Amino acid sequence: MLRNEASFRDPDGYVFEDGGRLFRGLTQEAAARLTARETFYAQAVERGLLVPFHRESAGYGFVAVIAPQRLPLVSYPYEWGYEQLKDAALNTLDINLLALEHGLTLKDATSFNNQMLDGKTIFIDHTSFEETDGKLPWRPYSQFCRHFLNPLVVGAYRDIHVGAFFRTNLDGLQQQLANDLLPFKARLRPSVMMHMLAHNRFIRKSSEYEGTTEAAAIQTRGRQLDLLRQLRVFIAGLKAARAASTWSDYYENTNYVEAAFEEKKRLVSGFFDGRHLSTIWDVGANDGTFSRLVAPAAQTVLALDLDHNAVNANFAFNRRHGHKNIHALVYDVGNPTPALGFRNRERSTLEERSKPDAILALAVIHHLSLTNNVPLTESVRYFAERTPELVIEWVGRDDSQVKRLLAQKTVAYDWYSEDNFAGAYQERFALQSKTPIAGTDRAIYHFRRR
Amino acid sequence: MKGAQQMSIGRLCEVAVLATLAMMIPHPAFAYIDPGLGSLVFQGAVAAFVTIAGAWAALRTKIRDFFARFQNADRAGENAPK
Repeated sequence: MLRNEASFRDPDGYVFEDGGRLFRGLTQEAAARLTARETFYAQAVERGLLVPFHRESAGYGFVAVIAPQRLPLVSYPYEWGYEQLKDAALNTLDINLLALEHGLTLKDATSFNNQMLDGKTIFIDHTSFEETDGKLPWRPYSQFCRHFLNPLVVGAYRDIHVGAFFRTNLDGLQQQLANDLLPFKARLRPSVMMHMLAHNRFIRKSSEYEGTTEAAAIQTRGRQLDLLRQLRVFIAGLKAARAASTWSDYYENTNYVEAAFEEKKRLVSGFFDGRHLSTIWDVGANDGTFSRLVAPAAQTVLALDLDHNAVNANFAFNRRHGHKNIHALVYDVGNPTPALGFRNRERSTLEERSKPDAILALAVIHHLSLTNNVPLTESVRYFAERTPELVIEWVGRDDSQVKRLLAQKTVAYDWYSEDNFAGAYQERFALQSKTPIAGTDRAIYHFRRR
Repeated sequence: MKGAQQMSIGRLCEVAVLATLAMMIPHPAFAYIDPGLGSLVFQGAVAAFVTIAGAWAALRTKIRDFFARFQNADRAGENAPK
């Protein structure tokens, strides 16, 4: 039995694995709730709000055990774009609204309780519910603000990757900081005034209430239903701040002649036609054009890019057009997702969560080499450590992008040459094919790890 | 004598309120996260606003759902680009 490293805080049960299968153990109370509110759980699963599961016989020291469906990929809020965080917020509110119809409410509102399954956001914590009379206060409120409302409002006014706040604080964006990041015009919105400004005044006075007020004894006349409805309407109306990004019109502003672009697409899809891989990573995926091209060949595609706006647009596009097996994530090869949390084991690196069978690295090598100053002998190690198969685009010195990058430099970068590239990469990979793209100083290399 | 009567009525109210509150204490619902006392008290303070806001939100949702039947909207609804 292998306990899940991230699941240890809820006394009502934790997640573990045995024999390659995933389970969640339940306490007496949680098990009783599961039975008593069977309709709620069934409806939540049916509406695509909650991960499907089935009950197992008692065991492993628990009075009850459930087996939730395994997710193809676990991703974290600091890897998400704006729309995905917003989707998770709405999913959380929707499941709580449904719960209220059955006399239940959420115990917490952390963004980590939401994941993607078949292109939809779903809730994964089956034991996160408790009985309620439906009155305020809604206990998860402050956590909901930190995990969802604050970053989403800030991100609606500032072009920031709001997910990144979760890297430094796993419990979300603190109220004071969020408020400090707002422009003046945001403070004029009634919802902001209430959930962020007025709320903060009370948060700051928390220490005054200690000793005189019992959390369990606070009761009001308001309803959770009203609060959640208002939050839902407010959040549904938010959208990411206009991008000031240099990557958004990438494909329009590069020197790709249409014919050359079509040939590149033909080449790349040719490598994967009719194949059935488990996982493909598209590093530097940008708007996801090539991720979608290879998606039929894999169960899961990770479309990785360091630009949150590109990731966001990719996510929204895939959701709209039903590309369910593509996960658009914010990821920087030069500074990838670290292991975080308790003992640095609670939240793992992307490499621990996903093992690609193939990596696409199109239009990346020049940025890695020239912007990040990673030598060719070093960048090959990144790829060799991660994948047995590599499709990588060499971008030569006559390419306009490369010329632009080199123009900023005072050093010659003589080592950046196709011969050096081929030499360095063939130390770790065996060359399968090399195809120059007509009309450009680029070539597609297909490698297999030795 | 009026002052004493007022005082005892006041005292009676106080007792009544405390008794009501005592009866309203919910079942031990132990949220293992720290809800922050400030946030809980805050919700008590804005309960009236929340009620009005909730009703307004419900109305907006009804109107949006009515029109959404004629569009192909995803979950967020309002922001699906045309």
